[in-house]
Order: sequence, then structure tokens, then C-alpha cells
Amino acid sequence: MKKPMNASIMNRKGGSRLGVLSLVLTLVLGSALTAQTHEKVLITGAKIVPMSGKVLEKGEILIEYGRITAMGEKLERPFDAWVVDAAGKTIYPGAVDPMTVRGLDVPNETLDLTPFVEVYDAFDPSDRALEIALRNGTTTLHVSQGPNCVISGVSRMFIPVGLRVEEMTVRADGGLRINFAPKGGYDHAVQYSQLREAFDDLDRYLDDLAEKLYEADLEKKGEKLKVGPEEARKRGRPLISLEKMSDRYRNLYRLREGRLDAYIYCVRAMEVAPALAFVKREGLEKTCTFVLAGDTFKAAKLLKGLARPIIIPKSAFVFTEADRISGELHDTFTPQAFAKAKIPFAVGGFVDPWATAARLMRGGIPRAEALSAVTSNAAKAIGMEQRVGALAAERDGNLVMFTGDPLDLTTWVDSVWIQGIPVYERSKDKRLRDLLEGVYETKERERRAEAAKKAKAEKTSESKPAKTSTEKKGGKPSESKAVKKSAAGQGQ
Amino acid sequence: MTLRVLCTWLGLLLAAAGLTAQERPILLKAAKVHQGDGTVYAPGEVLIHKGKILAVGKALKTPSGTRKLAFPHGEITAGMIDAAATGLTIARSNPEATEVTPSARVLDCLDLTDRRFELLAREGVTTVGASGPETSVIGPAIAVVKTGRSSTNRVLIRAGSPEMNLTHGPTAGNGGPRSSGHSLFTRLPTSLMGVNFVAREALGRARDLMARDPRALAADDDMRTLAAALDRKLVLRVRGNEQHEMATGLRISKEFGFPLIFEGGIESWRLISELSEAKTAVILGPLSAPPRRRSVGLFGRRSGRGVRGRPTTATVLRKAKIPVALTAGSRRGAYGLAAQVRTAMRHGLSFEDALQAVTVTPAKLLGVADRVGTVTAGKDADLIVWGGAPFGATSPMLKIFVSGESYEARID
Repeated sequence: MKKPMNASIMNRKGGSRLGVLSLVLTLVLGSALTAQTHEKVLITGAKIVPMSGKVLEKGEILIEYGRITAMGEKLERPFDAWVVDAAGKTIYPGAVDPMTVRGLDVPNETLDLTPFVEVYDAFDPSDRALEIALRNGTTTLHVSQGPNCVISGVSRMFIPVGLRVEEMTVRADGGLRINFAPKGGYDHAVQYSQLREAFDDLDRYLDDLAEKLYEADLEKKGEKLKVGPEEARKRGRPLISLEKMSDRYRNLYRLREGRLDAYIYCVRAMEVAPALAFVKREGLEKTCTFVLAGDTFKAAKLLKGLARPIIIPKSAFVFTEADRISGELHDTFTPQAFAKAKIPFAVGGFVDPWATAARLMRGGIPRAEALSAVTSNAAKAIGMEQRVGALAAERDGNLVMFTGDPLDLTTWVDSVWIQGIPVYERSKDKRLRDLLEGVYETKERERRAEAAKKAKAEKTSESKPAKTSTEKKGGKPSESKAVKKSAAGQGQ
Repeated sequence: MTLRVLCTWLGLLLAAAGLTAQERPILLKAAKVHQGDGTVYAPGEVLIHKGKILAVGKALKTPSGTRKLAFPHGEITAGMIDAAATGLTIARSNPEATEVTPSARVLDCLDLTDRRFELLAREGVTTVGASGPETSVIGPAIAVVKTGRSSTNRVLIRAGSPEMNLTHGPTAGNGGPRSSGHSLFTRLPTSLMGVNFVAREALGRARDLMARDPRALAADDDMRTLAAALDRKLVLRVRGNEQHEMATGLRISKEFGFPLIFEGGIESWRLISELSEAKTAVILGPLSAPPRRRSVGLFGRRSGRGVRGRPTTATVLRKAKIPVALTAGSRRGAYGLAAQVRTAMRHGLSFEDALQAVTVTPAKLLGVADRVGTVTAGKDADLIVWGGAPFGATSPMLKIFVSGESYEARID
């Protein structure tokens, strides 16, 4: 248990975080290192859409030691800053995925109650999903376990670049996912009873621990127990600390203390009211985020006044119901339903955040809201708005440079910057280039051209003595035949 | 008494009014009308009446009583055509216990009142080439039908081209010699080699009958259909996704000397030269599909490898001037035909080519270009009204017309 906590402390120090990151980049990017040693970067000449505050048609961003320190039309240029000319590019904050299982080896174990496990142990830094996330301009991922449990393990916030979990961690103490949607094979009754039992169990444990600690304390002082168990428990409570607790209960305790967030997952409208009652009972109003799929939009009225934007999984955008009598299908675009109820929302579990925002717009969500669902609102949903999701002073220098408007079909992510370091450049993305240029096709054509050239050379050397034009013409079909032959051989 | 007469008259009048309301011409006004042959009217108007397009252009003269619908930011294209839509038939397996049934018809297996056709219309697909199941080597002849819920005039072609499946599809459910019901002599193909053998055997038999026994040929419906393909009277459609499946298709077509159209063609980027040499068209797709589970790997498929699709395939084919029609296969909604077009456009396909790939080209490949595929006077009133640039990432469909009947677009 100590390991991840240490990691989080280490990671919260800005300087060391940057140091670790550049070390990673040394390994990852190798030759491009010279560019990454700059600790101050001034990006100039780009259109900047900060997602908080006004758009700069031609602005500048100064990033120092990984954090944005200034942004404006014309900034004072520090003498030692690396100046990057981004003329013609459009800059947005890096996208935030507020809820994903990407990067985990498996989304869930088979247990019901697992607050003692941590995403830390199951996160694979070399997962291809992270490479894809980076390519699409996602710079923060909240990785949490899936829906197939009652209470999940502790989630984490990551950047999608690095070799070790520690150096990729942006925040170690994410939250616990509490599923009101029943786990596979469970009904709501079993699911809720498991959930209640978990917290009742925690109470009993804390009582026992408090009593024991109080008695031990008295023993240490050489005093005798003079009070009943009830009073002993009360007096022992202040003696409880995280180190003295067993792994089984520590994270549930942290959740209740507000040190871990609660991600409340519902897929049916019927689950919303019990979930809200639970939040109230456990005092999680300030630290909870609702993750809402299925027909939960029907309970939207109950969800007004939440502290944070809700998260809608991308897979739950369209809810379809069939009329039992007419057989007609009725679709609801769930983000639209929540927007109508004036509930701010973020979207989670996407591959391409900008295509997801475009899809929101196709469903009738205005542009600003659609973009904020994958940036600023997503950061708010995971309590990270002070660091990511928008471009402003004091935030992390996480930004995406586009070749144009990110919601255009033909726009591509040109580069991605995390904490002021260019971690992705399209010009160096070999896989993407191969895909777009069709490497196989290109190579195949080159190979054939070469074969044809060779055949021609052989032919001309053979037919050199005879120089009539008819023979030259006759030479051509046999050439192509040779090519065809070799092509057929290659094809099979 | 007078009241009753009055009521009757009133009723008759109302009925007449209802009738005229239905029969009234509709004028669609939009910011742009993409005719589909390169002509764009901006702003543009389309006048439709009785299921047909009466006129297209600017500031059209309208008959009295015309209903006007204005879409100030909307753009109009022809309805999309999926030349190889699957998952529409009622039966999901072989028509018979035999692998060669080109005289069977997909149309006999379509329930045109099925909700699936209405949903297709609401996704902007107004005409489909309904493909049969992938389970026989030479399967039934496709049907070309209009989507929507109208009860009349939906069938454009009853029996189109038969389909030859050179994939693993036909092997599904076939056991080896030991499985029940099959002897060593009657067993059905269990591998691609078997599939190709059955295909060759059938084509060879048809060729043989053509040459030697026209009377026997006339008596055999299946053979007669294959003979028509060999005679170039109809074009066989060959389903193949992997490179080697398509290569086999080309080889068989060369051996027997018949033209073909590829269906699927997921790996066609791997044999561009062969395809352009053979002058075939490709009904390509689906380009984008829901993500698969990780277990699809080395042992995920019978052949031991996955199909290697690329989102750039349509672009590469068009660069080589190979006619391409896009299909969504059995995918709908977020992976439906409009999504296929968006994927292709994101990966380099121009808007003009993309529009052609779901309108004019499939109409030609299906042989119904005289009725559908472009926004032209005289053709069916199959239209999509978009909320912005057609197929744009942020453009929803606003309304769809199939033979003049309007449908609300479905959210993808």
C-alpha cells in the first residue's frame, strides 16, 4: 500500500515530475531529445482556443517547468525560452477522458468488493490504447475499473506516455467506482445489500479498532480502563490513522473522509434515487461524480445541483425504446436529454475525443458544450480542473496542435504537448504515415517498377542487335507478362 | 335530413382535401443541392410530386398548391444506396442443403414490411441491394428494393446478380465426413479449398452444358443462371474479403472468362494492380466496425488470421480509378453507411468520390441508375436533407425522402 502513496507524493512535485518525464522521453523519443531539454517554451502564432476565456486568433503561450505561466496576444519573451512557431495551427487543451478502462489488463476481477486493489497494479504502460489516445490528443486519462463489481479498486489519472506507472501518474488517489448497476448475475437487491454490508462492516471495524487502540493507549500509559465499551470507542476514534488500518478497510475509510472520490455508476433510472440517498448518507456530496448510462436521463430532475458534471459513457449516447403496442422505435440522444435538464456533462470512454465532440454536435449539442464535454467539463468531473482541461495560467502545459478545426473530418492532430514537452508529432508517427500512405501498396508498386525495369534491361540487352521499331513494340507485352508472372507469384 | 346531407358533403370534401394534401407537390428549398453529377445549385430547389422529382434548379416555377419546405442551412443530396446490405433476409442459412443455388432469390426471403427497412430509410439509405446470407458457395440472386414503409412499388429488381461466396462463410456448419447426414460422397465444403472446388465444379458444369446439351441446360434453372453469367448476360458478384480470397475470385473469373463485381473487398488495398487490370468494381465495406474483443488473434478465425482492413482503402482504389461503392454490410447506426462515408472521407476520399460511392456508383452496379442515384428530374424522389455539409462530422441528417415519402432521421 505504501508504494502508490509514495508515488503520488513524488509525482505531485512539479520539478521531479518533469524530470521523470524527460527521462522517459529520452528513452521514447531518443533522437528528438535536443528539443525536449528546454524548460521554458514559448509557442507563438497559433489560434488558441483555451476552453476557458476568450479565443486568441493569433496568440502566444508560455510554458515554464511544465506549467502554463502566461497566455496572450503578445508575451514578453524570456531570453532562455525555446520559441516554437506554430503559425497556421489551432491549439486546444489536451482532451481528458474522465472514465475509461483502457490500459488495464482486464476491466474487472471476479470479486464484488475490491476497495483494497489499485489500478496501479493492473495498468500496462505499453498498452496500444494509450498510443492511440496520444495520437488523438488525449492527454489525461482517468483509468478506473469496469462495471462488473460492487465497489471497485482505487482509480488513477494518467498521461498516456511513459514506461513506468509512477511517471505516468498525474494523480494517484483517484476514487472508487460504486456500481448501482448490478454486477453480472446479480439483481438490484443483492447489489445494494452488498453495498450496505460493506459500509456496515466498515463501521463495525472502526468501532473495534477504536476500542482496541484506546485500550492499547491506556496500557501504554499504565492506566486502567474505567469506561464502558461505548465510551472507549468514542475516545479511541481520534487515535485511528490510515497506517493502523487494514488494507481491507483503508480505502473505504478514505472515501468516507473525502480523500477519495466516489464514481457512482447507474444504468437505469430506478438506480438514481437509491444512489443519491447513499451519497447523502455517506456524506459524499462534494466528492461524488455520477456516471450515467441507459435510461438514467429519465431521472434527470433528481440530479440537479450536483457538485460536479456527470459523465456519460460514449457507448450510452443513444437509448432506444420500442413502443409495446405500435412497435415504433423511439431514440433518445442521452446527452441532449441531460442538456435539456441543464445538467452539465462530460463524456468518457472515447477513442477520438474530437470525433466524439462532433458526434455530440450531430445530436444537437452546441459546439462549446460538445468540446467542453471532452476537455474542461471532463476535468471538472474528475476534480482536476485546477490542472487540466483548459489553457490558463497555473494549469499543466497540456495542449494539442491541430492542422485546422478539430471538428472537421480532414483535420489531424499535428502535435501533442504534455507539461510543455512535445510527446507526439505527426511527422514522426510512422504507423499513421504507413496507414495513410498505404505502405504495402507503395512498396508493392516500387517493387513492380523495379522488376519491370530489370526485365526491360534484360530484354534490351538481349534484343540489342536488332533495332527495328516493330521489335521494340513487341518487347513490351512480354515485359508486362514477366511482371504479371512475378506479381502472380507474389500474390499467392 | 338536411344535417345528414350536409355531414355527408362535408365528409366527402374533407376526404378530397386529404387526398389533395397527399398528392400536393412539395418544393424543398436548401442552401445547396448536390445533384450528384457534379452540378451544385446554391441555393437550390427540388420539386417533387407523386414520388418523383419534377424539377431541380434555382427559383423553380411551382404549380399552385405546392407545399414549401425551407432548409436555410440545409444541403440536399440523393438518398444513399447500399449495394450489398446484409442482415435483411429472414432466413439466415443455406436455401437448401446444397451449395449452388443461383436460381434462388433473396426477394423471397425479404419481409418488406419489416421495421429494418424503415430504420434504413431513417439512416438515409433509400435503396438497397439486398444480399443473401454468406452461407452458400453460389448463393441466391440479390434483390434491389427501396427502403421505408411504403406498401407499393418497392421492388426495383426481383432477381439480380447471384452471389458467389469465396469466403469461409459457406463452410459454416458443414461437418467433415464423419458428421451425421453426410457421406464421403455428399459432404459439403469445410475449407476454402472445398469452397473453391464447388464453385469451379458448378461453373464447369454450366460451361459444359452450354457447349454440349442446351436442352439439359434449359431444364436446369441453376445452370441456366450460371450460363447467363458465363455468357456475360449478367455480372456475378463475388464476396471476398481477404487478399487471397479476392485473388481466387479473379483467377476463377479469368479461367471461365466472366466479369465480376467484388463484395466486401476489405483487403482490396493489397491487390490494386490486379483489380485495375481486371477492370472490376468493388463494393467495399464495412470500413469501420465496432471494436472487436482482444481474443481475435491468431486463433480467432478459422483461417488463423484476421482480415486486415484499412480506412484508406476506398481512397487507394479511387486513385487507381477502380469504381468503388461503399457498403455498411449488416452494420447500422453509429457504424452505418453515413459513418462508412465519414471514415473514408477522413482518410482521404474526396467529397465528390464519397458521394458517388453511395449514390451513382452503386446505382450503376445494381443496374438501377435510370431510377435512382442522382437528384435529377424524372428520377425517384429519394433525397437526404442535411443540416450542413453532407457527411460532415457535425452535420446531422434532418429529413429523408424515399419515393417522396418523408422520414425523420435517426440519431446515429
